[in-house]
Amino acid sequence: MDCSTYIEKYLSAHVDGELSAAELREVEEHLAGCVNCRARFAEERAVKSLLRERAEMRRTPPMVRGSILAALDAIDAADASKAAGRGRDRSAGADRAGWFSIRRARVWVPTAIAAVAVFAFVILHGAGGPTSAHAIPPFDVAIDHYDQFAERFEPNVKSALPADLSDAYMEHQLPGFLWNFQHSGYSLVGGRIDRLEDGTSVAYTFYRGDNGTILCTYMKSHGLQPPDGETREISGHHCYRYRGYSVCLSYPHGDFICILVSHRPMKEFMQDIAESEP
Amino acid sequence: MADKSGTGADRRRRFEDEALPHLDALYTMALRLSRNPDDANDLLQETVLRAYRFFHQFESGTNCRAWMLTILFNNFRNGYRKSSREQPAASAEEFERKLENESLRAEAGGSNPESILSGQGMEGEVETALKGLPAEFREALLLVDVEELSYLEVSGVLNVPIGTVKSRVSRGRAILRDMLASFAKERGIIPS
Repeated sequence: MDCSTYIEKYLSAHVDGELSAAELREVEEHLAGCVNCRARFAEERAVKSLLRERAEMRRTPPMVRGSILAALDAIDAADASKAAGRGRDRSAGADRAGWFSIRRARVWVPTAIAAVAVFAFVILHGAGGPTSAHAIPPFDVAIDHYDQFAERFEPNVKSALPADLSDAYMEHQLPGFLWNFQHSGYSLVGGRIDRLEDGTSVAYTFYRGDNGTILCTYMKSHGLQPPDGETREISGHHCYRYRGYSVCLSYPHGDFICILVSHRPMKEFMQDIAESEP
Repeated sequence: MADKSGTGADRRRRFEDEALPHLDALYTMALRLSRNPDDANDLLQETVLRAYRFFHQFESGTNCRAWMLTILFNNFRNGYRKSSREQPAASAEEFERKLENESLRAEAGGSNPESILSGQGMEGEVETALKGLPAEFREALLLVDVEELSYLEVSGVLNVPIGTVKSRVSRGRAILRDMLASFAKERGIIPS
């Protein structure tokens, strides 16, 4: 390992305790014989401590704290009265969950087919078979739904407000983050939550604009690794041309993948994604 | 669904024990994100109430601060960043004045160890340098260095791959180091 490799690739992660055991051994070996990098390490650690100790910390104003506690009391009171009413009327507590229990009863045929494809991929992948750069079943799930939704999208989450959609996704243990393509001219049409065959939830968020449509799909990652082949990166997300569509794969959380699909040419699609970033 | 967190009173107690101690950290981050105390108050309140509603999903033993920061960042982004893009931003002086008022009010409410430090030492320089950093570097650095989250946790909070967290921390800290270096060297905080 040379000095520039250490500084560019390992220094920060070293100070943050984020190196693997093997990397740490390699790094320590280099530092043992390099006085400059040892000094650089001490400096990096000093910057970290300085930030930790001296970045401003604000106290929550007492009034804000008080109003939060009062709001928690109100939630407790509402939950208690809902629980008391539930014994008399089973449907009373179903307000938020109602739309979902209806959907749960009928699994879409395309969803079922897509789920089989996902499992075929997982089995292949798990058995150590080669991962084909040409067949990415989770992409197929997203694309098939994209085509279907472009013709007709029926949301099953009642509200199309980002905060409500986020709530609904989180209630099904899905990521609560919603993309915002407003600044590229897309508006949020709505969202739907379905289930794959294994019972895991999948969320679709559909966007429509003058230039086209975008579908965001959240599902369990099923151990998916980024496909091989030509890829372009934008803000840490990987973009691919796949079956004639522009596809962007990102990992909102370790367990989940987020797949964005659009008919837009790759360049414009990547521009939409870039503009959506905070 | 059975209430995993037990009875209402039980949930409330657990929430007060595990989640509410992070209130000041969340408030500070809310102020940094919304750059306006009124929006920060709304963002904080919305975050805490959502965390309470979804508290049954929080896995005991994992990092509650990271979990709540994830909700905070999601709320901020889902709110379509109204303060930074849709509304005219408050002028810099107005923003500073509001921050000052908030800070004085908080100090009047009780002792605050951080406030004893402010105005002397490196606060000014550290904050000035932080404000000069691009937002994506600043957020990653604050989450790692101040909130003490792991790269994996930060990747969840910021909704970016772990490799991106790593590079943002690395680049952000390099810029910060350059900005602070001359001052820190004068003070002997870092070796010259």
